[in-house]
Amino acid sequence: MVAGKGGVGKTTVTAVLATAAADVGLRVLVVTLDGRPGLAALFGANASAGSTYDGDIVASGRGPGKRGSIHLRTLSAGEALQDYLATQGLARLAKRLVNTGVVDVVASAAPGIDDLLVLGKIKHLVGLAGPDGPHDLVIADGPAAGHAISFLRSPSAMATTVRGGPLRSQAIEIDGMLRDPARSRVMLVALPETTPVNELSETAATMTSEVGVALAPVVVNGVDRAGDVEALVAAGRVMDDDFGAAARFRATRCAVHSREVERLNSLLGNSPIELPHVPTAGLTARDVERLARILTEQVS
Amino acid sequence: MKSKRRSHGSFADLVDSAKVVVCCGSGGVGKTTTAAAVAIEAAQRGRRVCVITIDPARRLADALGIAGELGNDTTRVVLPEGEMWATMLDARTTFDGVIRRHARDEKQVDRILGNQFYVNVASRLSGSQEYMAAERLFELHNDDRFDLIVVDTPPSREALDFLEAPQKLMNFLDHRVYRWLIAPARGGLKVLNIAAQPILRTIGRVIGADVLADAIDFFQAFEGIEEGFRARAEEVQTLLRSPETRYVVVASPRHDTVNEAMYFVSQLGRTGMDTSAVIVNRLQPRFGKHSATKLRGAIKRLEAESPDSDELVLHRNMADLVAVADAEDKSIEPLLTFAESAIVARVALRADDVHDLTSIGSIGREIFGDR
Repeated sequence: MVAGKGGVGKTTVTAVLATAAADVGLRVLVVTLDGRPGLAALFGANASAGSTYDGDIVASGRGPGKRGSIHLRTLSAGEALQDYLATQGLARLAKRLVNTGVVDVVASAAPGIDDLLVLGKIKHLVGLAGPDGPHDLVIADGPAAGHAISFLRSPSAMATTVRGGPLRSQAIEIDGMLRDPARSRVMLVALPETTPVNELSETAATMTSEVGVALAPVVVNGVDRAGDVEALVAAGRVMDDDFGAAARFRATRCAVHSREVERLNSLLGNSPIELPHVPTAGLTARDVERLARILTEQVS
Repeated sequence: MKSKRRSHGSFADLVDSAKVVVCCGSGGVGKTTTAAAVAIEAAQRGRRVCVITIDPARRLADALGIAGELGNDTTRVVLPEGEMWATMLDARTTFDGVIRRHARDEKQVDRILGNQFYVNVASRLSGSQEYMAAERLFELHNDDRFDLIVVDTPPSREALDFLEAPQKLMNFLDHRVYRWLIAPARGGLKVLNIAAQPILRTIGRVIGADVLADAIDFFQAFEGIEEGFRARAEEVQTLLRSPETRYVVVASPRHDTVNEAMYFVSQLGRTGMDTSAVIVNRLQPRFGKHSATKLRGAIKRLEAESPDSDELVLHRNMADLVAVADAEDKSIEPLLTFAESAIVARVALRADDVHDLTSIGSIGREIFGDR
């Protein structure tokens, strides 16, 4: 599960991770929770008309034995709740439940029920994973900005508030999956800037101590390293012209980035995975492939 | 970098004439900082401004002096000149205030505020935070201390989440759900709707009977408040749609956020709202006017003639930065064309974090186009 605040490149990291996994021959299912348009394009697939996916294949024949592949699937909290109410004998009334706002009432009466049901679907998909299943690995592009903690906490919260019944046992099972590092890990993403690093280290602490999930290595996205430029500026070998101003700007930013990566390293007690800054305004599938190779080198 | 002036006036005109400025945009584009920067600049132009921030990063809250503030206090922000206040949205406290205002008596207030379902609605129901931002905006707009309210909005991919929040919440609290669950029986006694019973039983089984009882109790307690609540929601809605309220869409130059910003502009347009201004944040600054083509030529020559020279390093660096700036210009072009009647401000990416009043102020000066 990939998580991070808005704007840090959570979706990019999801795409990079999925590509890296497919390149070692894994069949990957990418689950997106907010139907962000453009995810398919990051895999070089033609952007489908809508922004929701239902198992769309965006890559195949990758890695050893040409076994690696990537499928996309969208899960929505509202739909998960409707589906659930439908399976509870309310199928005929499902539409009316939405129209009358009863679904909203249920979601408010039992906050987190929709998150829990989405996690339930993810758990189901994780359960199918394996050599004989349809995929080997599920990567979820986590919930939107700031919700990751309440999202992942929903099973344990539900297990304490609901006293019995199928929902409680499901909550306990999902919580078990989240706490089992062999089955699930949370990959946190940050940018190499002061505020995102502070927020990430707080989130990491809450995730491990309060939510009880296992963390995958942290990813720092968009790290700019230009040692040669930094060296010139440090040695005073730049002039007061445009080129000098550009070099000083770059050197300052690189210094901030190395300082923040270093700070994250000491806050977390281990070194994060670094994805380099790509000089563009939007990543292409080719950039994603290159970043995937860089990620693989750092993990192995 | 100078803010590009079009024939539609300037940011200065905008903050001088508006009573409310709403900053909207997706998460992570620097909306909160931008709202603060616009407020600082407006204050320095002589307007008495209050900025409402939503979940600011701690360093920004520190800079505004609102870190650790609870409730709905407004805090004076000390500027070299001008009068400015800041407040952090506390959706729960705002909601409690709304209930207090419309309730018949203390008993009804206690019954509602003490209800767990209400607590969930106030803190978690989608749209509640948006509506409370609008409600807070309305309250401060009516406060004589301020001429202008600048509001940051909760991160969202939908501009309508904010604009339609009052209506959405009204629908939720409206009779419809309630009437459906509880039908008036003969003799004026309210009983559970028989038609709804199987559903209630099922829902009760799913979420627990006591949880459901809380929900029903809440709707019962809420009865009699809807009218006042509705009237207020309509007033808030009217303010959001008044010409005194201006919408500023904040974007970053990345493809995905540009697309999201265009979606915001079109949604605003669909509800009859103009996007008064677009602020593109975090643009790669240009250092002089160097073209990518010329730089490529120079780099080729240097690679052949002096591969170990400082010149080559400096040219490559310039080429990297120009590549980003060119890509960003191309990326934001559709947005600028699309929001053709909007004032456009470009804000350069800072090499270091923006975290104090001085650096926020420098962003303000850039937005307003006078350095």
